[in-house]
Amino acid sequence: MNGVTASSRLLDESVRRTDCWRRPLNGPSSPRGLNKEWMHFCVALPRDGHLLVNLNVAENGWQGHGQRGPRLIALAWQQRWWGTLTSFPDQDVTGLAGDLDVRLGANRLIWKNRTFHLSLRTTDIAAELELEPRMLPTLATSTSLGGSHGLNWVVLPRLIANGWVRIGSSPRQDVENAVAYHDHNWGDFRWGSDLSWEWGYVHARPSEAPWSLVVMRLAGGGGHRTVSQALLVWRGGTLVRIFHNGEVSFRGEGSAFARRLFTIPPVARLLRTGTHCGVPARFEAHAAALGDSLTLQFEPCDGARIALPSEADPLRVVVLNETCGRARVKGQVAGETFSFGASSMMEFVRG
Amino acid sequence: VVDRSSRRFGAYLRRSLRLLSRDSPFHFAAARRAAGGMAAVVHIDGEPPIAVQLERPPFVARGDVGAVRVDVSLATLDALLSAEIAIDDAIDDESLRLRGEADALSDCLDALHAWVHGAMRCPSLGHLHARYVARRSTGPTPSPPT
Repeated sequence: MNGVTASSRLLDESVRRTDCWRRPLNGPSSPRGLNKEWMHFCVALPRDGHLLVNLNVAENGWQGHGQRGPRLIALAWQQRWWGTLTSFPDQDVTGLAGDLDVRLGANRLIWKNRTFHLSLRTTDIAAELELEPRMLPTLATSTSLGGSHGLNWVVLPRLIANGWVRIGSSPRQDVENAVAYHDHNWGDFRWGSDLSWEWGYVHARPSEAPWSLVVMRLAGGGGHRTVSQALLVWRGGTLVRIFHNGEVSFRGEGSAFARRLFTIPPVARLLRTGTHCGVPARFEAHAAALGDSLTLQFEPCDGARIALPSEADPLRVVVLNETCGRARVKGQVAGETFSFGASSMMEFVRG
Repeated sequence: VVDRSSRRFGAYLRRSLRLLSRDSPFHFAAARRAAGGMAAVVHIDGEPPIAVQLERPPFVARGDVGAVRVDVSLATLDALLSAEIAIDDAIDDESLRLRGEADALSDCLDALHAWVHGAMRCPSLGHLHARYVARRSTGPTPSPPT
């Protein structure tokens, strides 16, 4: 789709239908008690910074059936990390299945006028942002994780963000025409079961080229057995190429961050986790098929850890390593040859 | 107030252990099993020590008998609980000093880990922890250890 303006009604309908919450955010658990769902946003901030916001709900598959647990993760990086993971009681949460709008305490996400309106009021981060998609969302993709578990996702790789953000005690910063990323995931699985992933995006600067990339690899807990992998390429608002499974190969070299990382929730830092986090110092994806090819290299410069309770082992955690760094992309896709460097974020989930 | 630091931390720890035993009996049992009946004595800023044991409530009380001795400042303790420093780093730079038999020290850390895993799974402990950390600068008036 080239030209969102001309297809604004289509965009509105597509986002409402594909990106809506699949279950209510609060209330009793689903029959299986394993449901997870989250909306994930990343926004480029001034001074090469990044904002990551994840509105999510999880059912606790270890303690059995009970209530759904809505949470908000808000992380910001500007030469260092700030952030919190906050849980909310039922009465502070609104969000219905089939809707996009959600309220978590004083934090809100509203879809209105073909734009996400994100309001954040956490201890460390406040923001008012309007996030306007520049293309249609992908169709929902479903990946079986075995044992009737599965993960579904929709992605909107490029949005334009405007508004402001305040981090820590620093003054309010304007966000003007910043690039942003959004995905939405849902499914039934246990954190800490046989599952890990690498997931990230790259935006070429609008002045350089109109390319956007999303790369993902779902694997077993040890990372040695690939379940599903893909590299998606957009030119402007058009999804021009999906490299599937065998058309993509990944390689990680070395170990990033020989130091302890910023971790939320803070109490998790009392665990003696050491300094090895499972993030490679250099991550590469190579894709080639039917005359198209692409190489993505990513080198993380900093990372933060989100520690989630394992549902497979009550004395373990699952670590979501959120990293920011530099990406280099070279490729030949849809008849065009391109090369660019960009700031990027990648997530490395290790069980 | 000569023992403000240990009273504040003791009150927090006692409440957290009560919540853990109520809201996550599995993790409380794991912590108690790891502790194996021993007590740890915590000295904060040279104030009268508090003893922590998991066999019976109130779990935290004034006392100076235990298999493990912990010496720490309130500033270090607050930095640890606020995640500003890691426990390994505090041990390495001796701002947190642990004394005792190796097995007792290992069991003590295992009990701490079980408590942390419980805290991560119980919203009530998470809220208590957040309140303690938020009030560290203002120093709320604690209820005294019994």
